[in-house]
Amino acid sequence: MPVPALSPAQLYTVCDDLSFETTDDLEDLHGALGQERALRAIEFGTGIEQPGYNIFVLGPSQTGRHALTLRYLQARASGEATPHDWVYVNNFSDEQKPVAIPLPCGTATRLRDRMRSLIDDLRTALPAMFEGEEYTRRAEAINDAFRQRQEEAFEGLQEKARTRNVVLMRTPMGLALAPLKDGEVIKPEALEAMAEEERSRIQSDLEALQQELTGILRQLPAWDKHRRDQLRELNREMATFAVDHSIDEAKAQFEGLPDVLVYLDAVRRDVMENVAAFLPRPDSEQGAADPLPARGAAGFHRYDVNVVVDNSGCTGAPVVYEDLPTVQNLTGRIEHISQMGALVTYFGLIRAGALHRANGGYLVLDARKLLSQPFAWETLKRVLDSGRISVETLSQLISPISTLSLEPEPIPLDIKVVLFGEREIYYLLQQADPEFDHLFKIAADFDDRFDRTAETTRLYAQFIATTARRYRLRPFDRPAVMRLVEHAARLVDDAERLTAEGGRIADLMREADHCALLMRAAVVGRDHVQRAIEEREHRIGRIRERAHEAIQRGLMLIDTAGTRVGQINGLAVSQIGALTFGKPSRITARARIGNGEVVDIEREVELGGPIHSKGVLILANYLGAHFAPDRPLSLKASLVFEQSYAGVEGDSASCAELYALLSTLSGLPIRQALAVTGSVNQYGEVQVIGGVNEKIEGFFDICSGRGLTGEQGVLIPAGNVQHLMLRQDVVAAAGEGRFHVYAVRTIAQGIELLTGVAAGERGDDGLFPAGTVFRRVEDRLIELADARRRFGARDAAQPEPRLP
Amino acid sequence: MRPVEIGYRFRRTVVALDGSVESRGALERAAEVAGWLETDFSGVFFEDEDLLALSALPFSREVSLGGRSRALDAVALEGELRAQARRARRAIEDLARLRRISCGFEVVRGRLQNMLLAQAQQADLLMLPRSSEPMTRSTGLARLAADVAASATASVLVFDPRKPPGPGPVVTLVDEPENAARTLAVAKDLCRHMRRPLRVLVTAGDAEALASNAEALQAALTADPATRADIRPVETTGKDALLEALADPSGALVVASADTLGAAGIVSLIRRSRAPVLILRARPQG
Repeated sequence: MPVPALSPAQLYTVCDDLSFETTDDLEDLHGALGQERALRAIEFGTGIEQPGYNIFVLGPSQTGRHALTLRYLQARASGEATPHDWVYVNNFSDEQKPVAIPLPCGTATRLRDRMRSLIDDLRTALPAMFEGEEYTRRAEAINDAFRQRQEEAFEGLQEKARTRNVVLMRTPMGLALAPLKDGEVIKPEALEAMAEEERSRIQSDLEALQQELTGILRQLPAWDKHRRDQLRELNREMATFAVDHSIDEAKAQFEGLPDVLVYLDAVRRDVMENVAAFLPRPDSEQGAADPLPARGAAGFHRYDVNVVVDNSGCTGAPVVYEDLPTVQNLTGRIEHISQMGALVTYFGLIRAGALHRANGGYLVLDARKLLSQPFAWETLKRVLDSGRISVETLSQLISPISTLSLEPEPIPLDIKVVLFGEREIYYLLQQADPEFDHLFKIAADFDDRFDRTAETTRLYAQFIATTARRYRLRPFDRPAVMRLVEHAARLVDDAERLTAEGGRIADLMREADHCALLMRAAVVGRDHVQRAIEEREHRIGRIRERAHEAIQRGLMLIDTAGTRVGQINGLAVSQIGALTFGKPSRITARARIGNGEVVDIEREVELGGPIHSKGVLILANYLGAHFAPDRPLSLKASLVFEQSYAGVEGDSASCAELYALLSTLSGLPIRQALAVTGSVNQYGEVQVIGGVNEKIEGFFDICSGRGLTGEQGVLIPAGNVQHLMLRQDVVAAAGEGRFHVYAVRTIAQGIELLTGVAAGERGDDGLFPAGTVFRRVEDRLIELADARRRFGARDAAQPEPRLP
Repeated sequence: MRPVEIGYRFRRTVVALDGSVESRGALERAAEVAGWLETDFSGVFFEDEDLLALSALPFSREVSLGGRSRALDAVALEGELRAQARRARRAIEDLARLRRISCGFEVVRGRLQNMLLAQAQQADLLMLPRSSEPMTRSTGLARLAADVAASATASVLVFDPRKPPGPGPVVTLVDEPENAARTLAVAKDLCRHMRRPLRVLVTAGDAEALASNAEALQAALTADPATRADIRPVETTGKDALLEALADPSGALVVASADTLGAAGIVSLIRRSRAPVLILRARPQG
């Protein structure tokens, strides 16, 4: 019973179960299409509050995984507690190690503003106090006492000197005492002329006075230190009132926040120790901006409150997507200011990273971008593993020279990291990085397709409506939506599935909308969608056209009419970028006496891949097992893809190769109007292959170019019928009987279609009926086996005879 | 109103220098004031003959400010004085280049007071650094500042280079119209440069003259809107109250005519005032 050609309905499953006028009639789609598994994984992963349960979202990029996941995270985060604010403040005991303080949400800016006003107040209050009458009087008293002490000492010395006719003089290095006579320093000759007793008296006086002078000068530093101590104590005493008052006021506002209270006490101590900084500086120092020193915070910057995380604008937990996940963008950075040619920094220049901003919530990262940034992946793992965010500069990570910088106190981390990436990246990380599974225990696997049912079709229409509104496209009418749904099935090469890569449908919708615009249509119709599809095919179709052109011009030998023994049209699929197309390829088979070997020439020259070779070995075994099973397979056959100069991979040609071999062995010619695709197993069953639509369309295009005769067609595996979503012109030609698609289950069905001769089944006598394909094949194999047996008796060294 | 416009101009200004710490800072301040007064200035480095005589005595010693004593060697002293003079010359030359002014420099040797008075005869303005430190104010140039200011024939500016001017006003004392014009012109000019207010103490021999002086002064200052002045009549001259008023502890500068103050008043004012004191004397125009 010959296999009938498939009907147009089997070649293309139309979408006809929608009922609305345009997408304006449809509500938005709020859920996800066909991603229940992934969304359950995300829900599970976000729900577990245990370390390591971070999420890797894998799957094709156009599935909407990003939007869906973010939408889910945002919805979940909005119901969660808003995390703390974080500030960095000066560590007054070690300025290289700024202190991190957590604060209730919204309190960080309040503390910062309070500290600013506190310092401003002190800058007014303290100078006022120190310029006040009381302070001036007491400070003058201290200075006067010091001066008085000095004056008394020197006056006393000078008085003594005067009584002994001695004067105090300046020398380049200090002071000296000079004996006078008549108001002038005694000259050496005058001294020489003096009586010995007088000289001794002068010398003795001078030595006594010098001793006293030395004593005074040695005491001066101690007196001055005493003066400075007294002034410091006075400063402290005067400052205490103003400082205590301001600090206590501030502390009252932050009661219940022990970290802040500790900090404010530290501020109090520091202000008391640096009261001088609050007082007006000499003219020479005024006017310059408050500088940052080479080390540490100085001036009033030391009292800054650096708000690194301010969640005051958040409702719920944060969801942060970091588009550029460098180390610094993740863990924050320490900025520097150029000062007099040197780069200086302080805690106020610490900047938050995405980990800080997302702390207490969710951080979303693109795996590919993360992995492409130096040290970013290692840093993220280290942070997740330690549970603390340390601000690290890249130079700290890679520089062999350790420069003095800040070491901000690490901030405890409570975060869920969600990584997005392709499946290849996920499996690569899983295989290559032993820490990966430990840190990303949840995989949310977004599928690229889902079942095509009436319900999912309806939801798909809603998705199209939502997309049209989101991108402000014209409404799509029902036929347009149906065409889009049908195209969604074609994109996955499956009439019973729809693509989950909504991005590809959205692209097509935008292009269809543009076509509608060009055609001045208010609503996008089926024609616009069809034109958009064709335009896209045309845009990328240059290589396909060149390949088909080579066949039409006879450069590639493909027959589409007549019959030939041992020659068949196989079908191959080529994929280059976004373009996937099918084209026929001539396969030929030759056989002669041999030792049961089927030579795959593609493999011999290393143009055939392992799967193709596997297919050839299977067909060889089919041959040996199916025909003359009680005799050794005694042929040497060769199979080749003619004019194939690139590699051949896959087993979808194994059926065609077997048909060619059967034709060679049986001597029955094959109809060249037909092309074949399908793989075969050892029992002669035809198995499904990929790219069935492209393969059929590829052969159709060749035949159509030469003129459809009504004889042409393609044999496909019956299992592939469910995948058929053929082009409209192919379906139309099939409907008109000008082109045929046959779905075959067995080699027997296929060889009958190809040769027009019954394949034959073994009768009770164990033989295939006479004249059938299989009988002719078996007879030939027996003949070869007998010949081999005869030759085997002769000298094995002699060359094997050629077959006629 | 500028000094030159009323015929008062310092043509030659001399700053007195010795090996003291004060002298090192004096140059910078002196150059600044000379710039304000639009006068060139020269540095004169004084080598004290008494000091050289002392170094020749067999038992002379010097005590460093840190309290260490050592023999005062005449050769070393000469060398050190020469080195200090060289440093002073370089400093003056640097200042001249920096401020684009004409500067001179010379080294003289003799008894300090005699030398200072001699210099004062050749100059319009003598700038004398002094020290307010108890340890050094009775030594070297500082010891003689008040006396030289009182007896010199030129105007004298006595200042402590290590102390910046106070935040208060420029205080000046005026009496007769002729003296008042000169003193006010200089005081106003310095006020403008120092960005300080002007306080004018008006005095006279009797109440009638005081009222007349104050009225004339008020009229003169009102005509010059650029100067805001605080005018304070003072009824007595040469008394403590007047000197007290002049020696305002917060004052930036005191400007007074030598004729108004008298020698005793000058000495007393310089000893009392912590601010720089400029004693003005009229010089024949040439």
